[in-house]
Amino acid sequence: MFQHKTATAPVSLKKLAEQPDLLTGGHRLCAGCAESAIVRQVLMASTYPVVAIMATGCLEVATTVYPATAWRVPMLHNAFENAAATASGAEAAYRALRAKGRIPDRELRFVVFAGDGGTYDIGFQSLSGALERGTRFLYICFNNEGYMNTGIQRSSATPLGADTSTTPVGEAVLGKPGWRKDLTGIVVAHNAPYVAQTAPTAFRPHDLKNKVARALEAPGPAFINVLSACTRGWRYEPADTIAITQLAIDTCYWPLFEVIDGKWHLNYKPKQKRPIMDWLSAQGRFRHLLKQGRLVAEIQARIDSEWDTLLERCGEAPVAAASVPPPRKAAGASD
Amino acid sequence: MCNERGESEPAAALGLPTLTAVTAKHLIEIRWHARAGQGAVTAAKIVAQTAMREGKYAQAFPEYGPERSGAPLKAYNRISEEPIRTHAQVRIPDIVIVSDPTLLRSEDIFAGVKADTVFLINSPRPAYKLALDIRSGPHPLYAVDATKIAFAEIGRHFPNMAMLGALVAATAIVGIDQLLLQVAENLGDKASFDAVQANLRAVRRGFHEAASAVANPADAPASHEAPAQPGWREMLPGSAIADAGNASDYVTGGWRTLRPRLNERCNDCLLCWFFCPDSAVVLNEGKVTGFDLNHCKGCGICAQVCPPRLKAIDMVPEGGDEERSS
Ligand code: SF4
Ligand code: SF4
Repeated sequence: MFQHKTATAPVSLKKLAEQPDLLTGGHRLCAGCAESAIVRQVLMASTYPVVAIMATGCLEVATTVYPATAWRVPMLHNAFENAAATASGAEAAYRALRAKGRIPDRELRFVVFAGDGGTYDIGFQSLSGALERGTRFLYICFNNEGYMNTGIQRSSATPLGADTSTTPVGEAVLGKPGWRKDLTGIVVAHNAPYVAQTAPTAFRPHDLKNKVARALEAPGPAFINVLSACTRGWRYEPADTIAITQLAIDTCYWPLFEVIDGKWHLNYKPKQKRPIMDWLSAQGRFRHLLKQGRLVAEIQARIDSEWDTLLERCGEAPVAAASVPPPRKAAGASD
Repeated sequence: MCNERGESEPAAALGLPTLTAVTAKHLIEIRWHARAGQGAVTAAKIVAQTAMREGKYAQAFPEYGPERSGAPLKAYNRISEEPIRTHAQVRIPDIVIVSDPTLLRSEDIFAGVKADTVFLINSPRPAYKLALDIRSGPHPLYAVDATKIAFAEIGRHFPNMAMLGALVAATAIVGIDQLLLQVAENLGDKASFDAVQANLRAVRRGFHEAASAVANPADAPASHEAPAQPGWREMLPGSAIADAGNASDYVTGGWRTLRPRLNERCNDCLLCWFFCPDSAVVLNEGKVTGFDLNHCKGCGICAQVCPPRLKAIDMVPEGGDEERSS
């Protein structure tokens, strides 16, 4: 079993800045898209050379507009549904060639980048297969909670009540009818040695990259579900991409935790849980809910019960513990 | 002033012969340069539907690409008396429409044009000044202040209604009455009566306010080839791209309406650099020295994540943008 390195000192940003950027500007993601910020941080966090594998999605179409690529690491795209299988194959080929001495003998890491469409839905079987086979890779899911690339259709990651083009708000329907799928939990059930949930946030800037660094040490499959704010699909101002993510964390809508060898660890417990309304009211996709007191109460109750379950799994006391240092105020979240 | 055949007649100088030249062709191809979210794709569709209404064959389609809201986009029309067999992008346009003046700087509007290609540009400037300015040489050029019309009539930046009217004024490619009918029909289901009327007024004003000019033909633009795409012989197997990171040649700075500016309060915590989605915060020896304005899209994330007690980045409106501010 590998070392649980939660305690290692984070590499400072100054130190990271000494290396060249492995994702260039000139890609065509929307202004303010979280995805490329996440990719940059993932690539920075790795001390190994990385081979990137992408599912179809915003990131893929926007960073590799033929004949140009924003990637400075080897990048492989196959299809929408098979990013994890592609990584499995690439990793197996690499291992075999290395064993035969046909390629230089060095450690590489295979990292999949896929959206929630390519992970929760379309790529689900290939992800499950790779997890079960025990492929040594890191799978990063950019969860922007919908098929944003094709015009904001709902996916199984879309939250209850969100207005999307396939769950349009009208008199009969108030956005997406069902709860989102708990994919992180499903991956945990595959007994992957490293599973985590995170989001890019300025008040815990190291959370994402530290998790990536730990995941890359896992002896088998590692999976990180990253909440990735989408200015078009969620409908907020591009400048707020990082600040809005913090609301997801502070309302316990998207808790930061990791599951290492089946053991749950909570990474951050807000001192005071913010009401879910703070998260909902910041986004246009939930605007119609503002007058739906009963539905909001339902959402709040479900968030509360999921949070309590998580606390229990992590062995945390249900009330705010004094051992957690008070969070620094989110940069820019106040205005 | 004279036309490209050296005749000096006022009508030629006004670009009028081109009107017949355009409509006499049996296949007319249009290229629109616009920004996503300003209605250019809808406008192109309306042109095609109007032509079909008149019994012609027509196409309208945007260039498929992942560019997002505010990003430059291209859309195309083909109109013909005969069935149209090609479905490729328009490479050699008969008409070029530029519906956002800020694109004049970032887009190659002359790509693939012929000597008699007509230009129609949304600009507050008089057509003759614009023609000299962009060195449109012998090309007939029409200008209309579609942004002003859009704000006056529709109340938001939806310049392409006025561009439609101006297109008809410049080229008579479809009839103005049929165009107005088509606009009313397209908007009728979705918009209120007042909104439809406002859009129709914008179309009419575009029709009446388009002004034309031909600049000095000797002052022709440098020749612009249609951009080359690799053919199958040049492509690597599996569409591999060998030049890692070559996307950095692509300029996304034109998407910006606000630009970040660093003030003296910066203490080089590097949060802005860490969270910039476009790798556009420039560092030197671990200190922020500025922004890569070729790639910065002006999202404002850097200013937002900068610690509140410092607020070392201000987002300021793009300067020197005389086209937009005048
Ligand atoms: S405005 Fe956005 S793209 Fe430009 S430097 Fe700041 S974070 Fe980067
Ligand atoms: S976030 Fe603000 S203080 Fe920190 S390096 Fe950037 S500009 Fe300077």
